[in-house]
Amino acid sequence: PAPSLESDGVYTLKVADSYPVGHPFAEAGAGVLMERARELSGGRLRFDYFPAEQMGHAADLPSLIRSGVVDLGSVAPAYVPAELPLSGVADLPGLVEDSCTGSVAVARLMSEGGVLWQEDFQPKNLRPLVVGMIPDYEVLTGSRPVHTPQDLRGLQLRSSGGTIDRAVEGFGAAPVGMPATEMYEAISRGTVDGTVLGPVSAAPYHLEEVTRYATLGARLGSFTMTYSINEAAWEVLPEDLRDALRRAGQEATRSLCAALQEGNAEGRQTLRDAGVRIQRIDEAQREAWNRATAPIHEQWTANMADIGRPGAAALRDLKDELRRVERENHDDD
Amino acid sequence: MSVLVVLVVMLLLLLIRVPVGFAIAIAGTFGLYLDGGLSVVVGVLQSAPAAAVSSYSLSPIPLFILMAQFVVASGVMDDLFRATQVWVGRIRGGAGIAATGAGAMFAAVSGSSTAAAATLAHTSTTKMIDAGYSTRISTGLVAVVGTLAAMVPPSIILVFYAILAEQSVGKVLVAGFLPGALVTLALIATLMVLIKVNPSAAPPGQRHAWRDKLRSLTSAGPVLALFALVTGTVYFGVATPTEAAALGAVGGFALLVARKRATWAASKHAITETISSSVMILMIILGAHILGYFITSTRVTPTVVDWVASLDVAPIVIIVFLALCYVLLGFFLDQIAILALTVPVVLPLVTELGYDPIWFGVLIVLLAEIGLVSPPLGLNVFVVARTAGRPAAEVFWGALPFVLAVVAVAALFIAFPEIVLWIPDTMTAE
Amino acid sequence: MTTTDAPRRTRPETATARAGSRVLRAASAVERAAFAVAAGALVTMTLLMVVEIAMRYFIASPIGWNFGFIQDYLLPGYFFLALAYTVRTGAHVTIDVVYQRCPAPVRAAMTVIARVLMLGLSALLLWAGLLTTHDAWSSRDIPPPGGAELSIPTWTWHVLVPVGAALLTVRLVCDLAARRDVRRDDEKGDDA
Ligand code: NA
Ligand code: NA
Repeated sequence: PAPSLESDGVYTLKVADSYPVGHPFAEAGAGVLMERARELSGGRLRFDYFPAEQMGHAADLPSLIRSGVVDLGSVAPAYVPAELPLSGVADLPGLVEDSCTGSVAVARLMSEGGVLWQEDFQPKNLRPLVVGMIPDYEVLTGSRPVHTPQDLRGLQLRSSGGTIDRAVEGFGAAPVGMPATEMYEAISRGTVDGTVLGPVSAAPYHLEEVTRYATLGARLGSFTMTYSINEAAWEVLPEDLRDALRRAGQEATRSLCAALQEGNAEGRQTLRDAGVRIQRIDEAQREAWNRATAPIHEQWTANMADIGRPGAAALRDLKDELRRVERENHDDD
Repeated sequence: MSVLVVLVVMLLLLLIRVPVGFAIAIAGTFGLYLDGGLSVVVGVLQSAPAAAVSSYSLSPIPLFILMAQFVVASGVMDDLFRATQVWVGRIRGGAGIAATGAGAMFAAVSGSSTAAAATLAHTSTTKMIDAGYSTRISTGLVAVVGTLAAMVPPSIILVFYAILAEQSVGKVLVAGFLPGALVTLALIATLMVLIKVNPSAAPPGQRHAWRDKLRSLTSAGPVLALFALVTGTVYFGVATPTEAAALGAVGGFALLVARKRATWAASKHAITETISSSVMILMIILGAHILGYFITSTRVTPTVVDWVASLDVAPIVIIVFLALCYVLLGFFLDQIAILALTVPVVLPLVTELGYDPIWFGVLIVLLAEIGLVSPPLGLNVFVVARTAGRPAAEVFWGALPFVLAVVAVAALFIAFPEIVLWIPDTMTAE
Repeated sequence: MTTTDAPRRTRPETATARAGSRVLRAASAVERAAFAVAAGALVTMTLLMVVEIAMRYFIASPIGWNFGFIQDYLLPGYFFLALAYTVRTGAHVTIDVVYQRCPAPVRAAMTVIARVLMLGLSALLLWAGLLTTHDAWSSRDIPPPGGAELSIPTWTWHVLVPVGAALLTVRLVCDLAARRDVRRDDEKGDDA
């Protein structure tokens, strides 16, 4: 049944996400989306916002959006690899260095006609409006420094699931699943050797207190998320409001990537200030990391083929789109 | 307004004897229906059941229960009581101290207060009465000693609090250690005072030879080893709390084997009991999950928090008020249900006031446990009364002085929060 | 007072009641079987964790899939498969202060209302669970191989909810039906 969103010409959408207030996703993503949509619609779009997993855990949000409990919310493929498997392509290692390039490219693949839209989002009745991406996953370790891809062999690393697990495994380390809240203690007590994540995520868990080494530029993968709307709710909206929402989404994608770039930089600084030894990967070493990455891409493509998904096409499309966006950015300069 | 209606409905459901977990779930479903109609009800029920139950962090709950079941089946409790008695036997009231000490040790391997009271009633109460103790003291003391199990790690209710409050399960668990020790001492002190006032309440003790004392240690050994295995591995980070719970369950079974009690029937009984209690707990959690959607969508939490925060009173006044509320709730409601229903609403307020969430968890668990030994719904009291064959009213009166001791300890925690946080804080240091 | 819900045992007296009692026995047998599987899930969970610790410490090679398997299969499996059984054996805490002060007919009415409401919830859970399972089935949701999760279609764990709800629904219907047909003697603990 079509949701009843409208009252006196004003449409109110229930929005939910899994990020704490103040997190870049919530502030520069959902915040900007809602604020701009309100402005662009002349107040005819309103939002009832439930941040910080108030409405459900990250992995449950896609189904809560689908079933209409909320209309719009955060959807991250890494949390629901079984539901949005192909979108994991965006999280593969070695592809994206800059959040703005990455998220704009991925947003295109996730919009109407794009491969991720057709394969993942459309069948689930989800329509991505904002795409956010934390690029540059690094290894943070407690006692064992990582300089080269070989140093990862045999390490046990807390991993957040999805494509990142695959990357960790591909580098010869063992991904260990555990709740994010247990990560701090697990590293400090040596239950695991470390973790892989974007520098922006290290500070909220105070990982700078328990890690001694971090890589810089390892590009172990990314974390991609979207704010997606339930297709049924989208269809209820009049054309001009859809347009407002679409434009607000694009602006939010831009503001979010800028905030994430800054967040990653701040995160690195926090690590440095806390005395964490940063191992910079320079151009010479880059080659070794790229060599280690290639088989992971192949393995991922093969795994997608196993479940009947066009992994090779998605990877090719993403690489093409990344090049195109880079060219466009270059032309703009 | 609709929140009030739903809470009244829940109360009515409880009174017509709908099981607690189901009452909460039905009230929540009703609220969702009022709020968004059938489509929202079905939408929430599509994800809530699996989401509520399939959380890895919940797995310590059945595993801690299983460990305690194995320990009980091993019969080690009788030996523990005897061992403690041999050590403190010379003092008047020695058996009472022994019961408290054995209870504290059992608390170190049992996570559930009522289960502990049941076990202790079997092993300690009847022996105290036989030894010439007043029935009031023997039953009342043991009912309160049972609540130690919820404080001394491992504690099921503290695990549950940690999940609700999104705190480290390990830290919250370990935080219960010192408070548990303090409550133990407070109970012993109260016992000594009672005996001083009325010496006829307890028989004189008897002396035991050192040889007996040393020999008695062998029975405490396995229990202390099990405690070290569980709490030690969590404290030193050898394993996550979940894994420590699994180690504990296997360790409990090993104890059963070592004491040659590992029969098929005993194991089956332990597992059946474990599933029964943990399914009941999980059903309450599932119900609270459904109700949680309704509470969230009404935005009652931020409204209450804003309102209380706007009051012009000292934070300590609000904390004391909350503490009284928890004692009151404990009189009428199940402890897991109290936490599930209140923590999401109250914790944001408490942290807003600048208090530590781990400290708050230990405090409210201590306070809510008072409900287990106070009328009208004192589950521990009923369990002890039934085992000892004494009237419940007598046990309630007997428990009263010990309850006051627990209240005094709670007041101490409010005055000096650092007591609670001292040990968990040592876990963060590098 | 707080007690646990007391179990019911029926005494068949008529031909229809005999047929009914066969249904009840069959339902109980299925419940017991589901409960046995739940017990297996609990034991498996315990052992899996111990093996995980051992693998991590002694050969530095954690299992990996245990986290997802416990979360998706073992925890929901043991809860939903045991739910109906625990309702029958009265493992769920109830509050009896008012109940115990009521005359027998009022008590009977309370019990019927309570069971009907629980039945309503159970039926909704069944319906919602079937929808979710159907969604997962028809869109062929499956974790890609090579990840931390085992690559098994997700309907295989989604289905645990409707299976548990179906068992519970049958149990509650049986309870209500038995109450109507047959005189009841006051109950003793059911064995398992
Ligand atoms: Na305990
Ligand atoms: Na009470």
